[in-house]
Amino acid sequence: MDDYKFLFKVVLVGNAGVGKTCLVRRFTQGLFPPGQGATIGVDFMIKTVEVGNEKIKLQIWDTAGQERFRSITQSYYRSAHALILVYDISCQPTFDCLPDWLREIEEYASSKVLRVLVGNKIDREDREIPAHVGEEFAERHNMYYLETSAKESDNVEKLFMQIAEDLMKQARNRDLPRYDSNTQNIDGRTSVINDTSCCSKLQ
Amino acid sequence: MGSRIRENVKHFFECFCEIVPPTNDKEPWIIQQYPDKYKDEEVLKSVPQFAYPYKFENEVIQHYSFVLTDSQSKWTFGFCRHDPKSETAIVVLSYLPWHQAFYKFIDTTAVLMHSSRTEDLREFLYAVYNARLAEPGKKFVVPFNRGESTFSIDVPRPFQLPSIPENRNLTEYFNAVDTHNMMVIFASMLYERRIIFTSKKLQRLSACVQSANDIIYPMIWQHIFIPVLPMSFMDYLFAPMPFLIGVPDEVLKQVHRNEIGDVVILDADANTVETPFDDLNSLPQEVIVSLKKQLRNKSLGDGVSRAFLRALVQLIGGYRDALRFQSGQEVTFDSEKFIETRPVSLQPFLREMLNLQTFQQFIEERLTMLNTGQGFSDEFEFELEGYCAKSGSKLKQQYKEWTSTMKKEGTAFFRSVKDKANPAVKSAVKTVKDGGKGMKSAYKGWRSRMKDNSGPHQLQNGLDNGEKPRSAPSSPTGKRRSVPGFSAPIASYRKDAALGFKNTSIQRSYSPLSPGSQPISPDAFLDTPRSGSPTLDIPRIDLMNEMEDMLKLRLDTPPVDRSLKPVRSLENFKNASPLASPDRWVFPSRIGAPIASPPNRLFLHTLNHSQETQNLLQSPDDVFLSPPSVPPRAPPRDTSRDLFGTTPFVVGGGHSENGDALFFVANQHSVDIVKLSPPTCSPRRKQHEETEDLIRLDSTSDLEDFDPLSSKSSPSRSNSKTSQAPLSITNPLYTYENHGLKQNGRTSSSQQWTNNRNDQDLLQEYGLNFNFSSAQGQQSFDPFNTNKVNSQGQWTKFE
Repeated sequence: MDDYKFLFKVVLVGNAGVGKTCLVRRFTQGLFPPGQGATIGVDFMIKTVEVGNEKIKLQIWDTAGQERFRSITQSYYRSAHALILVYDISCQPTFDCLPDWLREIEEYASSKVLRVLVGNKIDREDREIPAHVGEEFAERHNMYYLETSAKESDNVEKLFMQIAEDLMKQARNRDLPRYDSNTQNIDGRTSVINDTSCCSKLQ
Repeated sequence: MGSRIRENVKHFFECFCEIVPPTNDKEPWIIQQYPDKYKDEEVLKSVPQFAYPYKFENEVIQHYSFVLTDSQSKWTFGFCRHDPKSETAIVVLSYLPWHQAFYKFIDTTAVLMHSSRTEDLREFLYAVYNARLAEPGKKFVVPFNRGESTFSIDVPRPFQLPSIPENRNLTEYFNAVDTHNMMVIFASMLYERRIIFTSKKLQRLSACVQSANDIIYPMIWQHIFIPVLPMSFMDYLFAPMPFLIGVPDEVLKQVHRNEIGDVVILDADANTVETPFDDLNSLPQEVIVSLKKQLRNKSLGDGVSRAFLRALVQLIGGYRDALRFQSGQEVTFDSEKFIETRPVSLQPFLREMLNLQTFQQFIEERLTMLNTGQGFSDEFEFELEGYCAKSGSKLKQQYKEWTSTMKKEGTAFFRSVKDKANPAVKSAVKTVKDGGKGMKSAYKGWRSRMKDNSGPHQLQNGLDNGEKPRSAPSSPTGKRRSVPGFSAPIASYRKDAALGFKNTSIQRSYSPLSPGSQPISPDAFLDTPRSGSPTLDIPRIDLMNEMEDMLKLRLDTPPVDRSLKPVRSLENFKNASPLASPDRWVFPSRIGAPIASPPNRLFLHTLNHSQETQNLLQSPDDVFLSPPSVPPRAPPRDTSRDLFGTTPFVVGGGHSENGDALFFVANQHSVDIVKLSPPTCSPRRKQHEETEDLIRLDSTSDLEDFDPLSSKSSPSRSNSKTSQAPLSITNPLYTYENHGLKQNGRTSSSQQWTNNRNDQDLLQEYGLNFNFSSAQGQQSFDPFNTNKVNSQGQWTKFE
């Protein structure tokens, strides 16, 4: 097994075509795993980053393919540590859908889950949603906000590093979201985060 | 639509691949494929991974299936065959989930691969690939070998509930996992958990995962679905969303449990479930109670499937009350009404259910069915009608009115949606409509009986089996399960042969009709007095047939070297020591040592059996709607057809330690079994793969207990009675692999022809078609040459 201290799961949501997949691919540079999503129906990327000398494995799950669902229900968010809600700054409808997405997230995801709003495609010249509009929306809903360009690689690295750092902070404070509230075995959950450290050595 | 099965499928299969196993420095790779125009790179790249999900030693022939999901979430099925005698694996990709048919298909390709004529395989693949698919319920027949052989399968009907033993997957699942654990998994799936199945055996693994999904019908698992997870895909176990993944034991060992998080794990080898949740008890109590009760009583046929179906009917059948019909508009679903109209005890659960992806997709699918004019036509709706007959009729009236309005007002709309409907579904609807009255009355009769006597499924099993002469009599699995009504035409001939054969050894004390005699499993099998009933004959005959099957196995199965096996599985119940009491393979031991077969499972079976019998006894006339007069089979006279005459020794000698050898010998002694049983893929296959386990069947310890001859029913009488066995033939829902039905009207010569065909199919299935190979020059047929690879100019080769 890889040698890492924490494993965090990040889920990307947002309308089709906002560039979720590109964002992830850009960040992980498509290194691993090579496009298994085509045969499993759900794609994910893994990248190990370093925060304060600790290795962190980020698993980023792309909801592409789940768009066939009219809405994504609770089960989808159950054990994510962070949610990235993506819209396209050059496409008003993708911004207009944000409240719908948020409603689902609020309904189903743990309140402690880290939420980030991302306006993608800032390389486009036909911007329809000014940055401050997105920012206000994020503030109103208690989210982080960042604008990115998957194409130009702007802010992509920063986005995921920020998430890694925040989750790490939460993990240190043992303040990570707990899912499946009817679980008795709370330790089981937290251990996913805290005991992951070099399991191979410990066991 | 929530369906993940592709519609409008044009070809039986999409791609055939032969795959070279991985070596130390090389990944597994595709050495040849057909057709070479198949170019889906992503798929071709991952197929070898699924064919060799980890490095394993293969000791028996193994079939399993895997599933690839495309970006539209549609499934492609991969059917894989590993043969210890072959250096490569065979994979067939198809959009059709017809497991039994495809296992037969890949076996045929395996035989042809070793054919002396290198063109044979390619010609066969060409013929099948280009053949037009048959309608559901019909036969898909493809001649090959220049017209001398025929590949034939029954095209499954839609909405067919999986039944035991015909459905391999469910049979495997049922044998590996007890009903309580099945219920836990069922509940976990309803809660959309992250679920892992694990096993050391790929075959069991994929079968269990597939079955678990079948069991939540009419819902469909909407999330990550990977019946067999290759090592290189391990990270999917960390997915935060729901999944149902079959993880080979070797792969699971590489994963740290605590990294996976909250997950339900079913160990199909140990029959254990670990779950951090209490999902089963979170289901409404009344549903659990009745589900438990149903499962306790029913295991044969589609009893298990139907028990779960009824639980779902109880839970979500009320969706009908929440439908809104407004003329001129599409039918819609009112979720608030759905909750309100349900009993208070169900409401909390249903409120949660509304949030489930599988439920939402279910509703969407139902609405699509209604809005495309298909109405309430599937098995779920039938079951639902029994559950709430009154509201059903009102609803139907409503729907009828709505439909007629739609037809008047929006003809174009209606036609257009209808055209989009799956042809399979359409034809099913047509069948239901056309087959109409007969089927309905059969169904009604069946249903009313269901209410009258508490064992409807047994009755139905009888019907089922009666219609499925294909359930393999030569397979211990099939035998174990196939009880009453066990295919008439088959039985009649076999009986003669069998009796002749066993006459001397088993005449003494067995009388299947006397309550005290316990021919197979003294405590478990025949404990219900049947005498006194005026219509005893039907069950009696079935028992006779079954007994003969067992006897046959006992007598004919030569001892073979057996390896130590994990205890619970389809295979294991056959894996008895010679001292084993016969009931051990009548029912598989579930836990621990084989001898410690849980008594209640056995008891269960007893109940089934006796109830079945009783049901049959009570069967009113409408079950036997038209007693099919099946011409009794003539014993095979054509000796050229007797393919086992001399050849088996050649093959058997070379492979005495693996399955095939046993197969040969067994068949050598029991040509009658083979001849008489139209081949089915499922149970027979088991025998094939697990032949080494069959040794336990050679136990002769209890032979004295069997005496079919001393029963009051004379063979000739048996014949006439068994020929009535294919019962509810007018019910298309239960005619999955229906032979007897179609043959009823034929002359005996055509019957014979069919039988011979079937025999050929069977032989090919086992790679034993010497007849066929001799047509091409028997000298060069070399069953031992397993490494031969066909070189065809038109094949795509990879280096």
